[in-house]
Amino acid sequence: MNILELRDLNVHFNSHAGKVHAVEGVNLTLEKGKILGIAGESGCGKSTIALSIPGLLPDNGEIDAGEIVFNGENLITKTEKEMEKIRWKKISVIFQGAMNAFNPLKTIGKQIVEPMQLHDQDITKKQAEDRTKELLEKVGIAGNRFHSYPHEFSGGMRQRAMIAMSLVCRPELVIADEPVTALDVMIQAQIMELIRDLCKEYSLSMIIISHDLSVLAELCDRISIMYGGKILEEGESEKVFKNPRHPYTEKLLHSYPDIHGDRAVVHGIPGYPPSLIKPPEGCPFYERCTKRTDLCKNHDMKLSETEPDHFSACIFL
Amino acid sequence: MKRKVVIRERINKIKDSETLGMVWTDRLGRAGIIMLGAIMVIAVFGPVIFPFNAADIGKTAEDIFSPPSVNHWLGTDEIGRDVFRSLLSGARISLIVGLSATLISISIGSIIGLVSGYYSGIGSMLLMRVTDFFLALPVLPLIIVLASIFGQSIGITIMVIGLTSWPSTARIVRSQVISIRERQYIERIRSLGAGDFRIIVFHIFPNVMPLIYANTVLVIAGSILSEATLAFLGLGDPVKVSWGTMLHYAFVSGAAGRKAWWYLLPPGIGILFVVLSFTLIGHTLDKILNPRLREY
Amino acid sequence: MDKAGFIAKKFAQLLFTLYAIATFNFLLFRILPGDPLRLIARAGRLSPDAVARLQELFGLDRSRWEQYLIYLKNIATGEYGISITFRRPVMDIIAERMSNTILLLLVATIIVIVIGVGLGIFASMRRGTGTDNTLIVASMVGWSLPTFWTGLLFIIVFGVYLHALPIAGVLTPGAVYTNYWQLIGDYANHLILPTVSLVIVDMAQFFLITRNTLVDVLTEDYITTAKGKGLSPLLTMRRHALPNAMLPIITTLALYVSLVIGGAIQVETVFSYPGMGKLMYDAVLRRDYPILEATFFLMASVTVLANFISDVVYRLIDPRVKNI
Repeated sequence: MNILELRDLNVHFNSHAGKVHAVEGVNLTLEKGKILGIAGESGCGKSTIALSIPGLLPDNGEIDAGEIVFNGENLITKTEKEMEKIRWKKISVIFQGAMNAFNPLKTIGKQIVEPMQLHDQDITKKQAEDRTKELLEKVGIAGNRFHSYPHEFSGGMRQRAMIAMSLVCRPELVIADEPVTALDVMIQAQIMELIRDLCKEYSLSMIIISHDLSVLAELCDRISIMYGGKILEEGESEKVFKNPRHPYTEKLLHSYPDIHGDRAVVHGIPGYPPSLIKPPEGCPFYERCTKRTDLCKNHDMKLSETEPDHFSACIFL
Repeated sequence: MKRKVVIRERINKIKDSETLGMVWTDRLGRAGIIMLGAIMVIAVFGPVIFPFNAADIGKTAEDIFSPPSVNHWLGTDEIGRDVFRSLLSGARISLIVGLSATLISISIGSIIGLVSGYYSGIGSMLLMRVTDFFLALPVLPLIIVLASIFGQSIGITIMVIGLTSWPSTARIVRSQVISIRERQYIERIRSLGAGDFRIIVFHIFPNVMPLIYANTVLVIAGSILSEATLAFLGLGDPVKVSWGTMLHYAFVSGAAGRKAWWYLLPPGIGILFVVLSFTLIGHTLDKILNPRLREY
Repeated sequence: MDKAGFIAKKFAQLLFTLYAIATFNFLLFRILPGDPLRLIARAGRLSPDAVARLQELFGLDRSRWEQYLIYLKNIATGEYGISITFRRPVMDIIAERMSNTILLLLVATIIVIVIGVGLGIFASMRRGTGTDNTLIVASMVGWSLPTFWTGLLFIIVFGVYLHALPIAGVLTPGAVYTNYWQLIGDYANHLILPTVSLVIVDMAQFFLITRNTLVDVLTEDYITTAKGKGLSPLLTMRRHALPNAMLPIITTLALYVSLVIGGAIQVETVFSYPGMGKLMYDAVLRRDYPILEATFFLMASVTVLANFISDVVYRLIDPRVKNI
């Protein structure tokens, strides 16, 4: 049973300089109870997908084609009022950079209680407070910090508070946008473990977005690799990592030092991501790909199965 | 042989020459520039083509407060003078006072802002306190009091307005200087032996100038309004008649009761027009040099 | 520094500033070439008794320093001297007029905040639309209008041509009222034109600052969080955007007070409204320095007080501010 399906999603932003095609023809599926990872460099469109799902694109963003099907319903056709009911209660978000995600003038506790009171009229103040403190404890924050202000929390604590807040209405789907990026490595490990445990405990379906493959490898059941607004490769994460079938994925994996492997020089990928204002036809990785041919320029970027539950958009499989 | 090492860093990436072009692109900014241009033309050439003769007053009762006619395009005032010509010469006075007062104001404000921002010590603290003190005083009452004590003439008006409007500039300059002086490249230059004066004048000041532009234009707008208000309240130069003075005479001579709209409307419209032109330009400049307000 | 300590420190600063203003006043009115009060006392326009009393009160025959100290004492006790034109204690005259000005300012401030801030919120939620742009242009025009001229316009249109509204005074002279409502109605009638003339500039100012601050605040991350939690735009504005926008807006309180006092002077003059503003204007005409001194001191004190209040309120609202 698929809790979420993105079909041919196209999202663009209007800017000074022109139309930015952030997401093009993206197809994704997430099974209930599983964790899907979306990987890619900055600016590849993954955050855009995260924001599109609950309808949180900024004013200059528009979904111009495709469907976002959540539990069988297309969210794009829903009115704003209907979406307000779904947000947080069914789909919640752990925002990138929790530094400023909290209102500096209100206590953390009040802000976590807020969605509960909004979506559940019957809940009493005491009940809401108790549940909040319970969740805070679960993420490793003392319950009495309920009355603290955001600026009194460290970065890691704020991130953990964000995680607690995202669970407070017992959502079905949690979208985590770079949940550990802004934290130092020790905290990263803690939080990743925390996320894994919470997913199991609450039977959550989750989408985790990150540019850090090591994070995704730890947590995700399936993974999609994005570049230039398009999906280049996807499938069961173990298969993708062990047997990458796209030049970009290969290069990406090789840019991480391997603790267990030989001491080798880490290679980056020379060049820059393509401009999304005039997106290139065909494969967006063309410019930086070492295996490219002329055929790549007109490729329709459809994903083909290379082995069971492992798809790639590369012509050379 | 001393080697001259020149390090300049521009914090604001917009060149001065580009700024004007960007103001022109903005609709409101363009309107402001056009309006200002029109005013300048009128102020410079108007009194030359239609000179105002203070001695040319009305001879009979009909000549006083007479409505617009072929002879007097905007009618006459309470002693029969031509309102249209007064209006044209008034343009010059209003502009001269506004611009001169602003010159004084931003000079003082910049210097005080630069010094109190760059140095940290008792002197700088004192300057800041003085600035805050002046900022805490209500503007119109202050200039009323000063003008009524020191006398009524164009020079006094200019001084009074100039000497009371510098604090806003000083504040802005000071906070910008404080943020710049902490930057690394200032340390680099200092380690190369540059003295304070050199640093302030050649490195800090050029980066403060863009902020002063927007502020200056708005100060001009405010100065012209202040002059008009002072003059209206009877504290302007009785001889060099500005638009505010015209309205003062109109008011005290009962032009309203006489329904002399031709006397009451034009000077006010003139003031509005000039102040609006500077306001539009000033806000556009602010928008450009403070990108947060920009649309996507 | 905790809250109580902060307030105490600011209060001390307030007192010091008041002292500085008093000194400034003294230098201006007593020390300067021509020493107005002295000239007047000697010019013989006052009766010998009055002159003697003035001399005694202000120690005009003693040294400057002694005069200064006496002056400070007088200010603190509310002894502002005797008006040259009215031949009465300045304090009495001011007391009579003050309530009128306070009424005018109160009504004006309510309108400015309700409409100015209200429209600012409205515009910020429609950033970039035609409505927003129209409001921005309108407020730029409003800000550029000379207040006294607006008053003159209203006088000509509503008073002289249309005979619709009173254009002078605060109450109809010689009127008799049978009930409270008539009295209030008469006040209201007389207040309409002056108030409207007064609020235009201030509304424009408030509109612009509210709108611009909100536009900034609405780009912050916590607003996206609020929306993500399912809050409606109105709820987001009320609970998250506005409180944060209030902070910068509060810092402009002192500026507002300065503007509105200046506006009141102009409006009271134009409409012959018997308040402190008109008092100041008349005092200027007749060079009645004691009144000028006193009204200036009072107006400056109010502005400084507004500064103090805005600093304290800011500190109380913002939990991030540790010490200033």
